[in-house]
Amino acid sequence: MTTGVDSSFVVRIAGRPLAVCGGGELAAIRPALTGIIEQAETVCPSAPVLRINAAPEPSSVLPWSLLSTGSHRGRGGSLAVIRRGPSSVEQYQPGPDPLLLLDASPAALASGDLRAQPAHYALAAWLSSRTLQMVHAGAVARNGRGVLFIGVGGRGKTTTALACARAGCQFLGDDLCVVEAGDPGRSVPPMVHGVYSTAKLNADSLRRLEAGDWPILGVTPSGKAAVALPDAITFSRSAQLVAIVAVKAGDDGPLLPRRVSPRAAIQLLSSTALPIASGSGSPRDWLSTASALIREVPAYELGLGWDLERVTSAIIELLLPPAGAP
Amino acid sequence: MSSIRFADTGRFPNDTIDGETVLIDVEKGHLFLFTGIGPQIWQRLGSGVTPDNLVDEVASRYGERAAAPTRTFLEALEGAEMLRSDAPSAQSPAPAISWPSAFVVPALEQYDQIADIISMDPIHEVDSSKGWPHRHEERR
Repeated sequence: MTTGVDSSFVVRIAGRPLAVCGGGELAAIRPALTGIIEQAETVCPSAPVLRINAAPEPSSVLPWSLLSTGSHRGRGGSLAVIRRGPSSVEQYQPGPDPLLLLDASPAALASGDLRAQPAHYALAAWLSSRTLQMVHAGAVARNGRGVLFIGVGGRGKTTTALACARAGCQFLGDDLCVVEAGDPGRSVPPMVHGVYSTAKLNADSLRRLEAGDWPILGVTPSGKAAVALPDAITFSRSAQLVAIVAVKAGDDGPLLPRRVSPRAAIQLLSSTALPIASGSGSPRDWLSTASALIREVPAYELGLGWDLERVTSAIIELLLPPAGAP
Repeated sequence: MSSIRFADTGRFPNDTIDGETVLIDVEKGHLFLFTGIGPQIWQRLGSGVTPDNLVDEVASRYGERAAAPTRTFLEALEGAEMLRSDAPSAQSPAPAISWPSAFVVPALEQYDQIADIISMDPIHEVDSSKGWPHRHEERR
């Protein structure tokens, strides 16, 4: 990777514009952001900006070398996430002109995690509010109506989202999405927004989804392939959130989606709270957003099997407009 | 339990969904759920009350059989560090409490998924007031 002439492009996440600036290293992260790029080339504005820098070992130089690996939160909402092996430092500095920074070593810029979800800690911190949260969840949409897939890692979010996308749904994410509470008083519906047009697939899912020829961006430490979406899959930036589905991998499925109580739903939504575990969001804001969603959106549990056709049929059924709707 | 206790709404912000109150511990990440008349007791603790007086209040409303479960619930709140001896600084005006007509045993349920993730990879606090970042003594 080389740092060179400053270049930039503008992305829009949940309606919010953000300039992404850097040198040659932008090529490493650009595929993940393809779906939300709004303006291909622009002069890097003052704010809000996500600046990407390539550096030999950013977490080994002062002041970051003084800090342990992990998340560090300062007063006023500043955040620094230090990673080593490979080395990267991600920062969010709030204020009237918020600044998001990602310093990454060549090895980090080549890694599957960063290529699939670049700067997600900083983005989650930037977006976090009482009504908006980046969450650990997948999502697809059809005719503007979206479903959120929740569940701890390994439960089948990625496979379900990609199977639905292959069956004609639009893809909003397999692992990280942004949810936005609605405002029932003003008839504003809850929304789900896509960020990354990538997915992280284990070998089994890669084979079952016949994704062997999808563009591979890198490999994660856990051995998953970070892939870009093939041309046959369409990315969507936003959709109205009409259902939350807690997926559960198993050999008995697929079962019919089973409606769960608000109490069960809020427990199931705990799995989406990874950004608060990293310090990117506040527990108070997460609870506020999650509670609003539970009030506004029905939640279901769905057992999964490898009959992906039946899984996608069950999801598409949930995405149909209610009978009598225009 | 004769000293005044307040609900620690600063550390435990909450929301009520379908009559049940959900709380999150902003320090440790535990998620809690109040059922029965738990939400009303939490509301009552918002303006401060001695546990003994609160038990008497509930018993006078629902009968003596309500006293023991209410006391048990208050002990569970103490155990979870949800009560404090001074009023939280950012107090919003207390809404009128809507007690149900029949007594339903108050209960506290705890869910640890978020707390478990946080405890595996704790978030470190740094003193950025001296310039970002300067290492701050990490909390133990």
